[in-house]
Amino acid sequence: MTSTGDVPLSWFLAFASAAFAVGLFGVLVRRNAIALLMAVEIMLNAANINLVAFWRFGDSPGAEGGPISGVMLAIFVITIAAAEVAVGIALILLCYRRWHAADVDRFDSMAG
Amino acid sequence: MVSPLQLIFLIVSAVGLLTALGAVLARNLVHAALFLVAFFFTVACQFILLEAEFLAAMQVLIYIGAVSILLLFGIMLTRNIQGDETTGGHWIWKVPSGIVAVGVLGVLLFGIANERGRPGQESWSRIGSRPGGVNPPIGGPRSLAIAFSPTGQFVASADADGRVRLLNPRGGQVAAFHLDGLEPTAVAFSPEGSLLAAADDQGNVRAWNVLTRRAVLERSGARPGPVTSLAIGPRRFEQDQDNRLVVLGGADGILQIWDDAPEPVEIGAHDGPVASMVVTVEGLLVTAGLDGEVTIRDLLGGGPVRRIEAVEPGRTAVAVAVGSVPPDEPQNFADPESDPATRAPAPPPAAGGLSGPLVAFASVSRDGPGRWTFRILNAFDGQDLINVPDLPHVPGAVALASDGRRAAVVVSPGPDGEGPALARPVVRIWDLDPGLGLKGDEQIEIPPGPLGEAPLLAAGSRGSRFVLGRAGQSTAFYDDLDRSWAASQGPAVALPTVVADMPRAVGVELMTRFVIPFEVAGLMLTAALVGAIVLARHDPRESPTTAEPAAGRQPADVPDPPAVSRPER
Repeated sequence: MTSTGDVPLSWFLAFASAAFAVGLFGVLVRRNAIALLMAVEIMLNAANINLVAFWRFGDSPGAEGGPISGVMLAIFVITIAAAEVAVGIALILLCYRRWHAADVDRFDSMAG
Repeated sequence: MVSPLQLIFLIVSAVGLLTALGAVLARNLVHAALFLVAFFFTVACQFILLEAEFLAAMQVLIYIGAVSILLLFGIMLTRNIQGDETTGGHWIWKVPSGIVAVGVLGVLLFGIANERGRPGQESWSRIGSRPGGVNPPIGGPRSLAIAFSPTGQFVASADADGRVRLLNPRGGQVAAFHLDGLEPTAVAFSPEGSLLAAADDQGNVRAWNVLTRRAVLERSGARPGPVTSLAIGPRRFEQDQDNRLVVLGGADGILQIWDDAPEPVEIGAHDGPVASMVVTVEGLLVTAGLDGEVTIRDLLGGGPVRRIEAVEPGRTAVAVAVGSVPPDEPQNFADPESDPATRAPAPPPAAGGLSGPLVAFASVSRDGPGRWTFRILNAFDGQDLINVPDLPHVPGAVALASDGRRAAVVVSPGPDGEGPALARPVVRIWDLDPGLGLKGDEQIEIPPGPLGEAPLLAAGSRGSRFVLGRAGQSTAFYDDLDRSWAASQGPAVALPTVVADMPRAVGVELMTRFVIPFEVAGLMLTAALVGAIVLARHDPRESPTTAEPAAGRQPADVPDPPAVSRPER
């Protein structure tokens, strides 16, 4: 056996990049606020895959570096994302009650 | 050539990207949310592939269990009579967004493919395998080759996870070098100890500077057979210290000598695998094969090849070692900042015929099972240093200390061994110092566990430092002060043992051993979601789409959010 048969790190990174690009496209294209939130979630998940991939493939996680640091970071990201969605949905509902639309283009009361 | 793991990754990634696109492009927001759930599932599958089982569970619980439900509630509460995309314009307006997204993707992929690493660090873009391997056993990856540096400062271990690890003699990891996902099969230090080289099965050789930890030399060629031993030559030019001769020995007995030429010179040297070889500081290449012969050739000066028959006809060489020769002067490559106390003391000048490279053979005969002969000879003059016939038990691996003062053999109890019975395998040590006499009765019990077919042994210069590699177990380091064996402390070991505690306690039975069932379940759930979306599109109660309201209508006349959502299209 000459190759270890493992998935190279760059494959994970490429998938994460592609998912991030898809999320970015969604943020730019979508106008519905909830669809925007969903696209942001896709981007956050892509970043999470990056964190975990570097953690697992890193050569010196070591005891001093914290062997579980990548997973801890990812858990932080998940937590923050959940909180962000909760607050975001509440804001969107408030805006919807005020302007009767979930369309971010309608939320233009601060436009010059 | 795609391994099963890579195939799973490719399928999961393709499904993930398609569902992400579906979540972004679906006009119906409920469909988009269901696509998003499917995408979350594929991300959980990726976490499983990355051996972060706990995180995968968190992903399912938090994202699929909470976030997507919250999003669905948000969709339910904000649906209005204008539909989901009230100000959606012509598709042409999506083109700039697409260009931006593709541009960002291009920049990211370019960066991933062309990353070069910071000074003193290797690039991560070429990491082809994870440390410890997939689902690493507790205790770290299997070692495929071990070498002690001539200075006694470092141990190099070629591990089955595609890494070459530089360790200190106590087993702590100093650095890890990777070989683009290929398995290293041989590892060697240069005669003065400043370079570490490793070869893989395809005949590629890479060398790193031990102190700066940078790759300094790379030779790639195609060898017909696996590389069984490797040697790297001494410095040849003052200006270009990294320009070295590299010698590969194959299982077919062919030597491959890399000089400055683009192609190596191939020489048939042995009638069997080249088991061990060394290039001395003077440029002498000493090879020992399992055919029981020793060859000595002068790589720098040329001249005739000398051959020594080291094993009598009728006997079979089982284990061979060629001792590296200590440098004559103190190491001048050591960096000035390092603590002089940690530096290896200059070995005292060898006395009484110990100056040449030593070759040790352990041979057995078919006539007497469970008996073996140990012979150490000086490769310069062919003189025997030790020739002990009829030793009990079965030899496994031979090592010569890097200062040429000790020899050690792994001895395991044979099927019907005579003499003193052995409870389990031991390391027998011979002291080669003439003042102490050639004893050979010193024994170290090796830690419990199966020895495997081809154990590895390396011996260091200072004290009785030994490194033992066994199949399926971590490399063990013997410390003379504690008189005990210790496992290596590289992250490959620390990682599974530490990580094992929390997530593996839950996940090892359910997930780690059943990666494929989990992936299949995740993909089936994803498929079910996508199928549900497709079926929902063919709703028989589909209302005519003529009532589509004009985009951009002012909603001022709508008093309240409608209580019942309008059927889609």
